[in-house]
Amino acid sequence: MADAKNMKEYHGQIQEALDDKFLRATLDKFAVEYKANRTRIFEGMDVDGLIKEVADIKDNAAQHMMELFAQFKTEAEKRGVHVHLASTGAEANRIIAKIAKENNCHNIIKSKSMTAEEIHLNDALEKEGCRVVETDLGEWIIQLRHEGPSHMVMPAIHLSRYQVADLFTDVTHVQQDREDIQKLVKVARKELRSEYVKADMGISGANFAVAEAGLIGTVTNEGNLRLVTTMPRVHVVLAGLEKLIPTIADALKVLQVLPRNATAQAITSYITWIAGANECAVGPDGRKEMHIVFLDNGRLKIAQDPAFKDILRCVRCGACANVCPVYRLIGGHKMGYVYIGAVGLALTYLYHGADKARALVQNCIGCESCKNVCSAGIDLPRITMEIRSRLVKAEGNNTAGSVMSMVMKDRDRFHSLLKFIKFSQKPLTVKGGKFIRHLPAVLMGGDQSFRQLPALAPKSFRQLFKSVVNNPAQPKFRVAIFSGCAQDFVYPEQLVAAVRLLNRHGVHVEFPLKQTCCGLPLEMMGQRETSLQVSSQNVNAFEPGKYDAIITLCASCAGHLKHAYPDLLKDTPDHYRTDIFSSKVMDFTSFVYNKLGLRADDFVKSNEKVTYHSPCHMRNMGVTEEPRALLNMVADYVPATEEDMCCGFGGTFSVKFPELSAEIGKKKLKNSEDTGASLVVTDCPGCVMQIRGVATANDSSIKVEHISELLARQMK
Amino acid sequence: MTQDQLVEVVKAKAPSVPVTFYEAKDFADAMQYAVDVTEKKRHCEMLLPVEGEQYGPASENGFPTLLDRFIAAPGLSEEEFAVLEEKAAGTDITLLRSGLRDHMGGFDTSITWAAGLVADTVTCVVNSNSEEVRLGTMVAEVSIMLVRKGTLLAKVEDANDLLLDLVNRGGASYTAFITGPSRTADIERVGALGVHGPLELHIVLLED
Repeated sequence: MADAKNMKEYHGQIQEALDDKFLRATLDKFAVEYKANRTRIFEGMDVDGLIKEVADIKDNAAQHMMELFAQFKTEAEKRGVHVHLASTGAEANRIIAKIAKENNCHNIIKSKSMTAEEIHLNDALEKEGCRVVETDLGEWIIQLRHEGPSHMVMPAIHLSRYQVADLFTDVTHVQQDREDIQKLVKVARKELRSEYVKADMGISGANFAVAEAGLIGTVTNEGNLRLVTTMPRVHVVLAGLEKLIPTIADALKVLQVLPRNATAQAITSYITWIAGANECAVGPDGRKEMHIVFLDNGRLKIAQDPAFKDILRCVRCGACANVCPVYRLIGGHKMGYVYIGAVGLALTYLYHGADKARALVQNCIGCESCKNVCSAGIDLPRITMEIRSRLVKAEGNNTAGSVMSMVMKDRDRFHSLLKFIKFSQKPLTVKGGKFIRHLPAVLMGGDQSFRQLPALAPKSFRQLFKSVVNNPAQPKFRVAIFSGCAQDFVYPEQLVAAVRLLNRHGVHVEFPLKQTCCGLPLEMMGQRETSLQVSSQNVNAFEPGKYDAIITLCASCAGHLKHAYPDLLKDTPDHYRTDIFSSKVMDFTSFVYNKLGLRADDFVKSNEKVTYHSPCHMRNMGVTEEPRALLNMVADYVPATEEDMCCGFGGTFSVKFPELSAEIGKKKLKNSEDTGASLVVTDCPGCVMQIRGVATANDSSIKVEHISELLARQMK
Repeated sequence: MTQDQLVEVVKAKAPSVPVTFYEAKDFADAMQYAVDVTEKKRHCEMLLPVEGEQYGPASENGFPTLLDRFIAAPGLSEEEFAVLEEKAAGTDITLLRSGLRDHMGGFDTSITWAAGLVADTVTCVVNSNSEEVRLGTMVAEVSIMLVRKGTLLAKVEDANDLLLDLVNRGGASYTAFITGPSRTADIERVGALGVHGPLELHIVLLED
């Protein structure tokens, strides 16, 4: 578990994971296979519709938690169950220890429960003198190794068969086969059987607590839960309050998504539904002594917090880890405390506090893959940004945050500073003034030598615009450009190309000068106050009613302006203007393909082999077909392996975690090079900066361009 | 879909679960099937060996095996059990109806009724209120589920009414959706069957 107190310690832990070759290979393979398997298992289903239904069911349940609790309690008590409510983890531990003591239980067997991990239940029971044995294979393995889970569904995914074989050899005092996984599994079958017989108490978790019938539903593959809930005379269920759900129909609906999203199974081997104290030959009067302990631990408060309440939708499928480029590099032990993956960052803060979460919540690259795969459509990156801003609010700024905020809140000051850097950077530039030479790590906040960073352009786009624009007399469309910082000051040529193409095809283009940074980097740094200020400046810099579209060539800016602004500014006087502004924002590529309707006839097709990098924030806006269709019109487009994978930039992320950004960037470069293409095309200046930077630092001959440059070059 | 069409769905999907599917001519044929399956399999592994006891040769996993064969048939009616007794007569199979807690080391086969079968996922809905049924379906190496054709359902959502009925009959209830054998992928994500429960699951279909 990552419990680093500060970033330095955390970087050390991350490096350990990066050096673990087995982990890297396993998670790489898993990431690729998971995506393919998930697509297959959802084939022919309305996935978005289902996810929306799950979100609605869970939202409704979270808003009625205590009513559902009361109904559940009545129904369960009718069926002979004792129902408890613990407000904290410590209280839940005390209740369960008391049940063990009152029933004279010493040997406890458990089936998998993340909630039990959350409250460190095993430690608490062991302190009371109980013997606790995990029976889920993965949980048993990590318990024997004194570790926490590294994945919510596959807790021992970080271990090789050899590590497991050696562990089992130690435990059984018999040399175990080191290759044959089937045999290793049978070791658990045999060793654990006697534990079921010996146990006097079984503890399980719950995937559903169905209020209408006082019914517990669990989703498992191994079947250990059935023995845990059958053999011992006492059964204790531990469930978070967010597991309460009104009806069986609701549970069956969630079941359509959960196993598919978790392990790409249509259904797991066992779904077990327990209502009441069932028949038990060794129990008092032939019945089970059954207790259900519901855990609050902040959940009721979270349900009332508009920024965080969606987290209670989580059904613990683990998919947010499966698709996360950071998890893929470092695994769950370094990307979570108890809960791991993207949801783990948030839950660590919410359930285990700021101390455990301070370093962890920085480790989100903002690619939004988790949001797109979530069983319940939780916007996890937004929640992570909210946590960062709350940490800054509660604990004050660090130096980087303060400086950033100070500079950015005043556009004139920000742009003057950029001008100053432009003039003073000269002695530091290399390769014809296009790149900055490698600066000492201490100046950069970390070793940035994995990529060559660009120098600021001699003239910014705002300086060039007037000399470039050539508006048509009778325009088909009127648009304004939102440039974003990277293209305004580093890559103005990408915008110049776009203006040429738009003008040629009858589009009137304007560039409102009062625009500034979109604010996304500020959000990534938790600078909410300044982020709101720049957002408001931008919304007021444009007269949205004048334009058919506000075009941006930066995928990250586009996503932020379009999807984050309405929410960020909803409680400000700008909210009405913002809604219009955001509705007009459109990425350049979609505009060219869908609005202008440019087709093959408008271009000269070259024989150049080009490949594509799909920027995360383009995919998140649903733009996937357009750039590829355009590429096919102008060049010989060859798709790359994992073209839809993040490039590793993530704005400030790449400065905070250069070791991770470098690994993701190198993989992107390799996949692009393997196509044999001479050019990588993409739709975002941030991705250009990363891929071109990594390519240059690695002396690769592959060129990197924005799609606007290629399209302008090939236009008739 | 008609019941016959649902049967075709089960037939098509069963092998990939994996489930062995058998259409019995009648109840006697179903019991004969269970006896045959039991006689053909290797003797059951003894997972709780007692020192000084006599056991058979070691299994492929290196565990001792039982000398006798056992079929547990909790949940069969008197008449149904009598048919099984008839079929098992003359074999070395011992039949068990209850007291399965005394056989936690393992037995070969269990025969239980499923109250419904979801065709789309090949999922048996099993009323497991009886502890013996729960142990039977977990401790046996081969779990045989008997299903009436009339109880086939198309999708998991369609099990809503059946589940509601099973949990609202008064008192406590324990219902299982069982899809294939006990499985894990916890070591290197490699699939393995029989981690705690059955190594094989067979579904035997009976006319209504």
